[in-house]
Order: sequence, then C-alpha cells, then structure tokens
Amino acid sequence: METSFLQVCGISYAWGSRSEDDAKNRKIALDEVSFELAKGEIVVLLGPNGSGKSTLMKVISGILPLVRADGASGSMRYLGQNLTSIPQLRRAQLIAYIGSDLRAQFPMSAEDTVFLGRTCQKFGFLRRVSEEDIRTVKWAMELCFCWDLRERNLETLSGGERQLVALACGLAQGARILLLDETLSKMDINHQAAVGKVLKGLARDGYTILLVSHDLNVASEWAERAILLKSGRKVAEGSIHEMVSEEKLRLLYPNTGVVIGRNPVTGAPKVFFDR
Amino acid sequence: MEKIRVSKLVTTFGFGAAAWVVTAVIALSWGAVNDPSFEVIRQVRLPRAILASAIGVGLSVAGAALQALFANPLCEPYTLGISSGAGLGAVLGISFGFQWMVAGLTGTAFLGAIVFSVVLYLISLKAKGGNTTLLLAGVMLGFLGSSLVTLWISLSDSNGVQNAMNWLFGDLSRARLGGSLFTVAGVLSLTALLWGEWRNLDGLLMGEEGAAALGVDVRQVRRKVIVLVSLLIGLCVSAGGMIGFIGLVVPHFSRRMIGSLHLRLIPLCAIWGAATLTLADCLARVVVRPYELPVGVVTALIGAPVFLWIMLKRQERES
Amino acid sequence: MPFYKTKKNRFVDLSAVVGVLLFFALWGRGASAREMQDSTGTKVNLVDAPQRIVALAPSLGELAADFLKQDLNRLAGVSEFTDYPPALKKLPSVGPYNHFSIEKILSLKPDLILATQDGNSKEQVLHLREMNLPVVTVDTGSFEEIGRSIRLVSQAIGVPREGDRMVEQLNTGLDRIKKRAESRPHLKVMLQLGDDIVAGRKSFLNDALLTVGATNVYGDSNFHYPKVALEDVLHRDPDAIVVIVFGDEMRTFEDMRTRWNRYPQLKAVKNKRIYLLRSDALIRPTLRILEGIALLERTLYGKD
Repeated sequence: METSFLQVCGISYAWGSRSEDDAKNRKIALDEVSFELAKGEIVVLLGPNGSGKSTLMKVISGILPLVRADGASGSMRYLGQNLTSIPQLRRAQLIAYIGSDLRAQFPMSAEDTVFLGRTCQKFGFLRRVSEEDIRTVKWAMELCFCWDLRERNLETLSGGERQLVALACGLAQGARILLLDETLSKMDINHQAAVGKVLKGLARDGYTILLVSHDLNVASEWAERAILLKSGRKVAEGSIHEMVSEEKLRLLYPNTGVVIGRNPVTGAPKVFFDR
Repeated sequence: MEKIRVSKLVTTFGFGAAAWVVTAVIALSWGAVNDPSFEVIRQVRLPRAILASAIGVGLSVAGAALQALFANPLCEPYTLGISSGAGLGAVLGISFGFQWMVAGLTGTAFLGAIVFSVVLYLISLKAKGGNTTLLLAGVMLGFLGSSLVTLWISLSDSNGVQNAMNWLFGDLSRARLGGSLFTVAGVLSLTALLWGEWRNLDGLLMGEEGAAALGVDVRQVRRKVIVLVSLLIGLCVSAGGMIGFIGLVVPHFSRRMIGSLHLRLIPLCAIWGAATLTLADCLARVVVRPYELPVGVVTALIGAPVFLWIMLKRQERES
Repeated sequence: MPFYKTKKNRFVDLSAVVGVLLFFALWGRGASAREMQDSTGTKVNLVDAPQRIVALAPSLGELAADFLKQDLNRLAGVSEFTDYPPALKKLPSVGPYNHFSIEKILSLKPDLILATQDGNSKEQVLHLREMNLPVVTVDTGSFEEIGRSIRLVSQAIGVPREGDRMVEQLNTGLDRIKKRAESRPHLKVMLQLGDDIVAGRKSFLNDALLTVGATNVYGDSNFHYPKVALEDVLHRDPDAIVVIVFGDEMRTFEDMRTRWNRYPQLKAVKNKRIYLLRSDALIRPTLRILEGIALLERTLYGKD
C-alpha cells in the first residue's frame, strides 16, 4: 500500500472553554476531519465562512497545537511518520503555512522577510547565511515574481505584492507541502494567473498544495481535487469536476442558486450565480 | 546583500560607540560642582556613569525584546507592569526595614519584580488568546503595583515617603562602585542570553502565527523571553528606580539605523541605551544643581513627546 | 675620627630618631585624634577641632553655629534653607536635607559632617560613611533627645563643656515652664501645619505642647504628621487651634482661619481661639526652643 504524502485522521478542535464538561461554551471548529493528500496534487478546501477551513490549515501546520487537554484530538502522518507532536521547527521544514496578510509591525525589507524562512530553522549564534540559502531565496523570489521588490520595505508594497513575498517565504522554508490560506485573494488577475501556473509547476515537481480560496472560480482553475467542509465536518470529497456541481454546492450553500459552466479554454468548471 | 552591509555596520556601530564615549566624558566632567577633585570623579561620578550605562543597556534591550514578543512597537518594560512590581517591593522593603543591601542594591525590589513576573508567567501559560491577553494583564499589573505604592505612601510616615519618592522615579545617586559593577555583570549576562534568541525574536516579527509558521515554538520562546526580560527589568529597577521611555525610544531609533533584525539590533540598542541614560543622568544632576531631578523625570520629559510622535506617525501610516 | 666618639653626637642622633618617631606618631594621631559614638552607635574618628564642618540640616547648622560663635568660617557647608543665624545664608549649600549632593559635600573636603536621623536619607549617610568621611549622626526628631543631640554636636565640634552648659540652661528653662504648667487647665489643642496636616504624638510640636501644660487633641496618633479628616476634627472639637506657619505665609493662616470659621459649632471658633504661631524656633533643637515654647505658652494662656 502506498503511504500517502500527508494523512490527516480524525482531527477535532474546539474553541473556548477547556473543561470536558463545559461543552456548552465550546465552539466546535473541527469535527473528526480525515483526508489524505498525495504527492504532487493540488487540492482546494471549499466551504462557507466559519466552516473551519483556516482552523484546519493552522492545525496541520502546527500554528494551533493539538492539545488533548484543550479538547483537541486527532493525528497526522507524513509518509507514515507521526506528525502530531513533532517540534515546530521540524514541521516548518515539511509544511509551509502561507496566510492571507503578511504584515510586519517593524521596518523589514522583502528580502529579509524571505530570509526568515531560512534563518528561523537554523541554530548557532552567528548569522551564517550559506550559499545555498542565498540561492534558495533568489529562486523562491524569482519564482514568485518578487525578486525586483527585494530591497523594498514591506510597508510600501501593495497587498498583492506582499502575498507574493509571503509565498516566496514559504517556499524558502524548503517545505514540500504548501498550505495557502486565501493567499491569492489580494493579487490582481495578472498575478493570480501567473502564480497559478507556478503552483501547477510546483505540483509537477512533487509539491503538495492545499488551497483555501473564497473565489471558487480561481481555485477551480488549478485544483484537481476538492474537499468540502461544512460546520467543521467534511461533507464531501472528490475530483474538482465532481465537487463543483449543483448538488454538492447546495450542500454548502443551500440558499444560493448556481449554474455550472466551463472555462472554454481549460475546461475547468466555473460557477455562475443565479439571480 | 550581506557584503554591502559591512561598511554600514561599521559606521553605525562606530557612531554609537563614539556617542557613548562622548556622553561618558560629559557625565564625568559635569556635575553638581564645577571644579571637581579626582575623588569626586572617582567616588561619585564614575559609579554613576557605569550604573547609568548598565541600566540603559538593560532597559533598551528589554524594550526591544518586548516589542518583538508582542509585535508592537509601543511596548515598554512598563507595559508588563514588572517595574511597578519592583517599585512596590522596594517601597515595602523600606517600610518594614527589610532593606537588604547587596552592594547598595535593594533586594526587595528584585523580589517584587520576580513575584510580578511569576504571576505574568502563569497568566501566559493560560493565555490562549496570545499577546493581547498578556499585554492587558501587564497593564493591569502595572496599575495594581502603582496603586499599592500609592496606598502605602498615604498610610505611611513622612520620612520614608520622602525617600521613596526620591527613589521611585529614577535615582542613580545611590551608585557605588561595587553595586554598579554587579549591575553591569548582571545586565550583560542577561543581555547576552536575550541576544542569543535573535532567530526566534526575528521570527516573532511576523506575528505569533507567522512565527509559528516559520518554525518558532512560540509558547516556549514567549516563556523564555518573559523570564529573561523580567530578570533584566527587576535588576534595573532595583538598581536605579523606575526609569521610563528608554525601552521605547532607543529600540525605535536603532531600528531606523540598522533595521529590525535582532542580531544587529540588540547590540545597537545596548550601545545607544547606555549613551542615552548616561546623558540623561548627567542632565538630571546639572540642570537644577545642587538639587537633583529624578532621572525618570528627565527621560519622561524627553521620551513622552517622542512616544506621542511615534504613535501619531503610525496612525498616519495606517490610514 | 669615628662619628660616635662624642656623647653629644649620640645624643643628637637619638633625639633625631625619637623626634622622627614622635612626628609620625603625632601625625597619625592628628588625623584621628579622638573617637566618639554618635546616636546610631557608630564609632566615629574625629580631629580635635574640626575646621571644615558640613551640617546636613538647618537645625544642625543652627546648633553648630551656636557652638562656633564667632568662628563661623569653620562651617564649610550647610543644607538648603538654612536661615538662622542669618550669617549662614552666605555659606555654600549642599542641597536639601532629604536629598543632598554627595558630590558637593566631597568637594568641600569636610573633616566633620553632622547628620540627623530625622530627615536625612539613611542610604545617603551610609554612602558618606563608606567613603570614609567622618559623619556624626544625631536624633533631632524627639524632644527627649534634644539634650543628647546638643551634647553630641558639642562633643563633635570639640567643645563638650559648652554642650553641657547649654543642656543645663535648657533644662532649667523647661523646668520653669513646666512648673507654671502644673497649675493650668489642660487645654485641648490642635496644632495645624498645612491643609489637613496636624502634629501627631511623635512630633516635636506635640512635646512642646505637653510642656506648656496643654494636651494634643491628636496625641493618640502614631504618626509624626497625620492627615486628618474634617469630620474627625469636628468630632474631637479642640478648645484651640494653633496654626503653625514658617516664614511669611500669612495667607495660609488667613485661608485656614476662614475655613474654620465656616464651622461655628467648633469651640475654638466660638471662643475665637484660632491662633497663628510664626516660629521656626519651635522645631529647632537648640536653646531657641525655649523661645518657641514660651511663645506657644503666651499664645495659649496669655501673658502670665
């Protein structure tokens, strides 16, 4: 049996009160979510607001720790190895979480930001930046179309440009699993298309990409599979064509009328909203 | 990228070191008397200059670390309320006669700082809401400490009160050589430990979530930094009373000179912190001689307007 | 011819050696001719007759001046606000008594520093001692201690017999007043110093009051100068209120009198017994305190 790249098993997560018996005050964010991701695929997480998509991504990337005492449970495996309680440093080398809003409260150049992806994983007092580090950063930034922005202060960049830097930072970490949480939302159409192509290229190179996007139609261009989440529960899973269909979308958005069409060039399914 | 920086590093640090030397010379040459004997310089001004430098280093490095920890450039050693704890400890010590003098330092102030920081640490263990909860807890602790001090002052006798008022707002006049050198040793070792955390502090610049995404163990780092910063603040307040704004202003200007990355930021903050407080202490001694202004008043008079200016500029930028 | 042939030469040599030894012995002695114990129990080494005296409180300046008489130039420095005797105003100031300038003191090269337990910072005094400066501390905060303070200061300056004489005069004067006080009615008096600040049990003023035969309405307070509530004053209803004013603060007195006049139920207001007492002599631990107490006596009981 082939061990899948990333295996997520029975993840449950709750916000709010910690005690087991104070269930009333707890908001269940995730309820027994399980799925598997194979190497080199692009998967999109679909679901209405509050369905737990971000929470799921943060749990996988370790930003929200799965602490049993807090009422969380579940397990994750990477190529068969237990991921659930590895040190954060190791996890960041495997999985990169790229959020929707890269902000620094202090003056930082774009290049310094991307370098953080490398220096945070190293040890030692001196900032010995190896040749490999410099090469990786250059590669990541060029790939994400932000190499020209490298000397610029983050504050002076537009939202979309900051997202390109964020993506480059995630790539610089060296992780082969990328979690993109609304990363493309602030980019202009130009960049969205370009980045989409980049993602496809990375997937071909063996990267596994999990996307969250509020814009279904952007995601449907690049994703091959979709996982549908509603109220913290996985309600469906399958290929993008299967999932972007009237009946499946009604599971998620019961009150919205939709019409499914197709991109005449790529054949990707598109959603049109009924008036 | 790195190559261009070397000359910039040399000039920036060189300028800082020169500034410190200049302020040290000023502090040794000026004081309450115009024609000082060598004894005066050796026994009075030298320990003060050493102490001022040490406390300046401690408070500005603590400030930089706190700002990274909370990803908020308006953070100050006082935002955690630990210096109020130190002040409370000292003031209670004077009142009960427990003034444990170790080379001139007030041991009870140290105890006060540790108690408040333990409370803060326990809160941080529970702080799932992260930094905001912690900041608020710190502010509340600060209020609690100051209120208790005020309560003590109103209940107590006039003599002790006068002495405490002198000390509370920053008083380096108790500087003795032994105590100053002890403070230097303490401050330098704690600063070195904080400096060693530069990778994690850099990660925290991206916010708590950003840091976690980069691989930083946020909870553990938060704990470690809080402990180190508390010890540093406790030491500084024990040695010289509550001195504000150094921890805010020095990191801010240092960042403009050398950027936000902590490997270079922390030593630059240290140098400029030493220079700034040495100069402030000199001003405190000279401006109304033979009276002395509390150093904390001098730093507040200069620092508060700067604080407001920084805050307004941030508002401007955000809108 | 051998050097020691003559008795004269040997004698010269011997006396030279003895002379050198004596010189060194005396030199050493000159630097610390005597030792005395101050009010904190610390043993202090002093020269016989200090020529550069620094007084760290106005009361100590006054006391020292009393003993130095014409030789005021032996006083090298005084604390800020020293105003009696007026000649002292010309001397260099080392700063206010609660936070003096150590630098200034050091630069005056004192061979005697007079400090008080009532007002000077313990830490600063310790600092001075650590620099090997001769500091004699007295306790000027308590009435009983006046005698002892006078003796200590006179001893420090090198005129112990003057001190004894002054104490005798003081005691005689106090006895006379106390005698007169025996036959008097004990008025309940409130001694007011500021807006709501009165003299409590542990203050100098309290003891002065008791000497003239009155009782302190706030004599049960453990504080030196407690802050009191208006209600409490109305409750305690003193027979007389004496407002103590230092310097020329006439306005403060008027303000306070106006304030009390708003409460005509007070005995002190009904009997028009709100007095102004302008005298810093009341709080100086010198012979002048007799003047101050006499003034208080006259104010409360009229000319006897």
